Amino acid sequence: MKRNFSFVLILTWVAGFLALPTLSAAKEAIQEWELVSPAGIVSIKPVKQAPHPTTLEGKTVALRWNGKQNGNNFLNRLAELLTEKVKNIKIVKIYEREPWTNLTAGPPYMSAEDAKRIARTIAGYKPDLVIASQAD
Amino acid sequence: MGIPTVTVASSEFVSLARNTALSQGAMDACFVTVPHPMGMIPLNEIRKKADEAFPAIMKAATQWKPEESKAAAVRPPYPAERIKLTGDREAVNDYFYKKGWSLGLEIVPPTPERVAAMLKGTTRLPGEIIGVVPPRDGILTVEMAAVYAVMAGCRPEYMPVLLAALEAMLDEAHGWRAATTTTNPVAPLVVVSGPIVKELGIQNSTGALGGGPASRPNVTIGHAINLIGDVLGGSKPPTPDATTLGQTANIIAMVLGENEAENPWEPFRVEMGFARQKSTVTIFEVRSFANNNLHDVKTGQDLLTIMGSVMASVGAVGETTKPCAPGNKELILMSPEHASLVFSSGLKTKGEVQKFLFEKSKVQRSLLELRYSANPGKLDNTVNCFKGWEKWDAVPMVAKPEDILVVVTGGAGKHSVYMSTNGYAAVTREIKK
Repeated sequence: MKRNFSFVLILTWVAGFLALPTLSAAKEAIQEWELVSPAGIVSIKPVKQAPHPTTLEGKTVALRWNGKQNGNNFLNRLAELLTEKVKNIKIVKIYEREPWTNLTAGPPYMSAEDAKRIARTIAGYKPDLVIASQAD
Repeated sequence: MGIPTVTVASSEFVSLARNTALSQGAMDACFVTVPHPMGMIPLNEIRKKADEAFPAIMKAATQWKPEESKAAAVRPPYPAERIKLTGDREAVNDYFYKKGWSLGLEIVPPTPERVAAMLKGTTRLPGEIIGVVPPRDGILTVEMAAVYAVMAGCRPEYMPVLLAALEAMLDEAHGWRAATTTTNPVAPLVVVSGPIVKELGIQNSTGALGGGPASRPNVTIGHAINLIGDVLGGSKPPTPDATTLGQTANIIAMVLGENEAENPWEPFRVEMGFARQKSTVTIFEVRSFANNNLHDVKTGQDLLTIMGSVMASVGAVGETTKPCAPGNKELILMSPEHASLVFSSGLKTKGEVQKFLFEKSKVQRSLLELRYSANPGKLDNTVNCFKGWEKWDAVPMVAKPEDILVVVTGGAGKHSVYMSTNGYAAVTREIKK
């Protein structure tokens, strides 16, 4: 019984070995393909962006922090530099005046409604420019 | 609102920020790049980075001009473009891979004939727009879903499940954009409940998420979902998918069936508000996969106590505190043997199970304070629902008991898995043929 099994095993192995060139020759042939492209179309409604001021002198600049570590420290230093180097600039640290706005996008930190509310709050200070720090 | 902006972003994430702005229609937003990292560095270093970035910030503030906006869509999304190639199947795969149209796994070439055959699996018209897939905002038509279904190796009869899953993912409450751009290792998980599980042979028992010869619908639908997200939606790492490590389920999404035959409670779809005779998909975005290897607990209450502790540790302390995300749902994939023990221990409804887990998954506020130790105001200032709790109070990890969903699935064995989610809702859709 054991001998029969070994014989069958050898036969199978030999048959497999002989079949190898045949399998290799059966590689899919080169052909002309017509295919449906998966690239698709992108849907973007472009928005017009506000022009930047040509100078910051006498302007109000709002600083917005998203709550990520060190973003406030970066903006604090930026506020010092702006005050030191730009005449009559008014800095509004939104993150100090409105700490509830120091939110990172997405739950549990910020909902879509929060985002709109933050934008409205910043706009309420009537800044000429907003500088935001994403940190990370 | 007509207010100009300058956004400061770290070099590792400026690309993500730019793509996010683009998806909102800002074709050319104003960014200043600071060498990564900004977080977890000493105060003097971050101040130095501000000093170094100051000239660029001044220039951006006063000299940056937006480019003229370009029109985006130049032709209708249906019918999809046809392309011609010469070569063997391997050459087609190489071409698709180099174009960014596959995820490294072999795809089935989407010939018009195969796409037409796939479309026979649904009664919906091929030109119907299902939605816009974030973050690239690719327009998803029924035809386009069929193209990806072909590429992933789906059979036509899987189309209704795939379409229902995509519709659920496109629901705003699901937060697909956040899931595809975050640094977290997030991947989709689809629970199928109802008669269609048996009809299609969706794996719901041993190895429901583990592959195997009976898993064709699970893995091909999962592959199609991620092809659509990553190619049409464009969310491949490193940008705009900024996942720090990622996970392989972001290549083949997790798809499993409810094991209704061994579920002692109401079917999941009934719990989610659908009729018993219907079939549904429920979509989650999950982060952590925490196994509860519990062979030696005596009662269902003991088992749920341990599970609750795992949930608190993994889902709240290790990740984010979620009571403040009102739509968020957490997920337990409970094995039939564990479900049987819990049921026989007297918890005869899912509601009772949820209440028990809600109590046992509370987390000590002091641990949450450690999460925000470098940013102490954040817990109270931005995660408002933690206001008023004392340091040693046990605070809930979700807003209410119903936010912990339990699905009975899998086969023999004493393992149940807690899936921590991405902070958004679990969205359920009926599967319509």
